[in-house]
Amino acid sequence: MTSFSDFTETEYEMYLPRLREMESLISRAQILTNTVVHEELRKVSEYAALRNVLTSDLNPRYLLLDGGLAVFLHFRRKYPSMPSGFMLRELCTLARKEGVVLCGVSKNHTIPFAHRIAKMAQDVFGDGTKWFCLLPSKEDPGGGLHITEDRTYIPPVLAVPYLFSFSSDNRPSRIDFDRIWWLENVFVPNDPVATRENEKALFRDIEFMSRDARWYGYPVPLAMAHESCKLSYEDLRLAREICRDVRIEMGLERRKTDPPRADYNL
Amino acid sequence: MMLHKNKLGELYGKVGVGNQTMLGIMGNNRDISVGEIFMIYSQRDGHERVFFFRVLGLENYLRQVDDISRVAGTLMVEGDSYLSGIERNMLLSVDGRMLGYAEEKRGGWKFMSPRRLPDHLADVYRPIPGTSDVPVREMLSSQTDGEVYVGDLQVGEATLDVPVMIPSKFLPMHVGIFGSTGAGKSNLMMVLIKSIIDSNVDVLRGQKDKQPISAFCIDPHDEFAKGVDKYGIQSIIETMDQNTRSDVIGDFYYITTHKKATPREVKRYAKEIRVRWDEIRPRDVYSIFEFTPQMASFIDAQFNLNKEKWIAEILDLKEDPDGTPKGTLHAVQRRLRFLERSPIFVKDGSSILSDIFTAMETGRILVVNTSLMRDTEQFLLTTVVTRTLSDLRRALKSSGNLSDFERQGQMRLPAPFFASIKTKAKAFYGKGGSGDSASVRDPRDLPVILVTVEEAPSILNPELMRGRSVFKDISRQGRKFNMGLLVVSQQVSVLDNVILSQMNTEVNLRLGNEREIRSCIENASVNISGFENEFRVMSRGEALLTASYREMPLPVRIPLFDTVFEQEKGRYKGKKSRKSEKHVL
Ligand SMILES: Nc1ncnc2c1ncn2[C@@H]1O[C@H](COP(=O)(O)OP(=O)(O)OP(=O)(O)O)[C@@H](O)[C@H]1O
Ligand SMILES: [Mg+2]
Repeated sequence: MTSFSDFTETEYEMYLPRLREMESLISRAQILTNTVVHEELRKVSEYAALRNVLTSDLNPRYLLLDGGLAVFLHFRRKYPSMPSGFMLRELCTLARKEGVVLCGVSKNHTIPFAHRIAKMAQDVFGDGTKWFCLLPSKEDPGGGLHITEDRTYIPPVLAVPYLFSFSSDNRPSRIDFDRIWWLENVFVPNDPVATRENEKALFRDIEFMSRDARWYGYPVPLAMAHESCKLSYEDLRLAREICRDVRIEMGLERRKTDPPRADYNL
Repeated sequence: MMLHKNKLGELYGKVGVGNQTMLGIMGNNRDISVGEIFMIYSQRDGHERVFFFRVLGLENYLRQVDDISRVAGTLMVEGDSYLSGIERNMLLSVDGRMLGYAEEKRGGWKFMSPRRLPDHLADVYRPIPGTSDVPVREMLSSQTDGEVYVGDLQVGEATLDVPVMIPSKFLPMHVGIFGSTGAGKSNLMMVLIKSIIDSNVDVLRGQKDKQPISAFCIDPHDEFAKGVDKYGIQSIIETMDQNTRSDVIGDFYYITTHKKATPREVKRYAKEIRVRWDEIRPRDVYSIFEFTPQMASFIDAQFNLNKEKWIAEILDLKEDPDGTPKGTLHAVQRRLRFLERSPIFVKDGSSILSDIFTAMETGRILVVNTSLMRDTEQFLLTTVVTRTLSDLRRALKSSGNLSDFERQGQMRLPAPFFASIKTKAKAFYGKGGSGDSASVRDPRDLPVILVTVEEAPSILNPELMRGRSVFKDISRQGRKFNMGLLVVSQQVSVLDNVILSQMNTEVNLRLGNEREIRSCIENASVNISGFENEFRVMSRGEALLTASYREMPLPVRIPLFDTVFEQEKGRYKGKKSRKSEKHVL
């Protein structure tokens, strides 16, 4: 498949106008490497699943997402540079409307000097304390941290990141909230005490979700989701085998699909 | 014929890994115990098979958790931690031995030793009493069939209604009962005696086309007749109607040293044990004492000289005869002196030996109260009886007709004794008449004779069995004469190899120590290596039945005698016998 015209006279023809429209939303076409495309596909499928939850009658209180809530923007036009960005923002709106708290949890927090923050928390509150820490943006009181000065996406646009740690055995993780939801539900202008109370109530819930002994410190729903969908080495091996068979069937050149280290029995 | 899988029991788990001897199963987190038996249903290429699997080890398993100890540690250290939705991930990893499999062949089930594997991820069923009994009974019929009931198939802590029997035709290939003190040997003996009586009742009523079974049962604690608790063999006899009693028991079943000391109700069926010195042969004493070669040749010489009077003559001698090394006479006399003080071995007078012979050739049970005897008396009695009965059958076996038999009998047996039973013996052994030319019967058409050897290590030890022991021959040749030993012992390790290697059925009860467990496993007629742990946790009345003619080692729960007696006392009355069940799958 090389161009849209390949779709004519197929069952997908009817989607062509919408595909074209979507294409017009991609403003980062120049960096569309395979990895980026795959990542994008993963994101849109996850967001589609989230959307299904939000529009279902499950009515959850929280909806947790593995990964941050950062949206990449077109640097001049100020709107998302990829379709997934649009989807995420739409999800945020929908979640607010449904009264669902949308959280993005990243084990890989990418926050500079997070270990120093963790150390300070430990020094002040003692070993084994469960803590969270807001990373304020320039607009927030006390915002404009030096450590994030040279980082475009920290704090992410339209998101509020916190560092948190519920177990001294683990490195701190990061959790993002929709900034609009946060301003409406957590932040109380000119009242840091009330704001802190709201934050505490929020993190009490999340902390409670993170007490399963199997994944202590990490929210159970995400851990279970991970367990039920992660690819094992065995799955990967099977996938490679299937891929090889398909290549053979399609008459493509035979190519080794095992990881190179297998060549040396490593 | 397709098996209804839900009749096997409850679905318990799935086969994980395995080879043809060991299997690993993943199953529900239930209360499983070592020793339980599971069934694995497998269907491959149109072959329906049910594998039997015995649990040898258990391990908790949490699905998706690689390091269960870490989780346990977190639960400990982080006081507020929990496990959410863990139930369905809690599994048991069960290891065990494959016992073999049943395969449907031409409308019946055949049982095979493990030489195949169940299907990948095959379903594992846990038998439930009340549901699984009938299919298990059918699938294991080749492993449990027979005439002599021992107990019921045990599947862990539960018992299925699957009676485990020993075929009477294998009794002459000797049976061992091994168990430490209190393991339940005496109770088992009583259950066996009852089973033999039951089988004989069926034979007499023409319900079984088999030979009756005779048993000479040594009872060292005088427990069998009156029983330990409520009932004993006497209770069976009292429950019988007149005809059944005289057919099955004759006019006595209890023999004892002192009839006077016998309880009144038993006394009616009792006789006193008396064996005359002239009925004893040198080999009998060689079987129970060690003698130096000088002593033995002295005895042999005295026997050649005095024939049946050899004991009396030796005991009367004052000095070593010429040519005998000094001190020999004294040494021999010391060993034989007990006969002078013995209430049962008498110089002259009447003897019970011919009555014992008659009883054993007519399918009777004898309970032999040896509680008031010395050990040597008990051993000598067992030996004389064994040797007499086997020599008579040996004489029969080497004869073509009754006149041959008479010649053989005169040659092999003490003259006074043979004279006293000759006519009867001819009646038992002759085929169509008792004239001299009448041909003789094959011992296999005569009753199976079972002689118990109690405290077996005292006479079946390597030292005595090295010599001219009566038991060496009977171990090897019992089968020819349709006569077997029932060896009762607390230890296996001290028994002689000749008897151990000739033994084809073992009832292994709880054992005393690791050495006995090891000997028991080594001696077993089927491979039960790996069952060490099970022996360690066996309780009284539990046994592992192994037999060379069966593929599967059978865990058996031996019932209390009182229980089976109460359940079945109705069968001894009148014509009606136990309903024969017909089961259709
Ligand atoms: N099958 C059984 N089920 C339950 N209890 C039993 C069973 N067999 C025996 N017992 C109990 O165990 C006790 C000892 O049994 P038993 O006298 O048969 O043991 P034993 O092996 O003959 O011991 P010993 O070596 O001392 O003669 C008795 O009190 C009996 O009631
Ligand atoms: Mg006993």
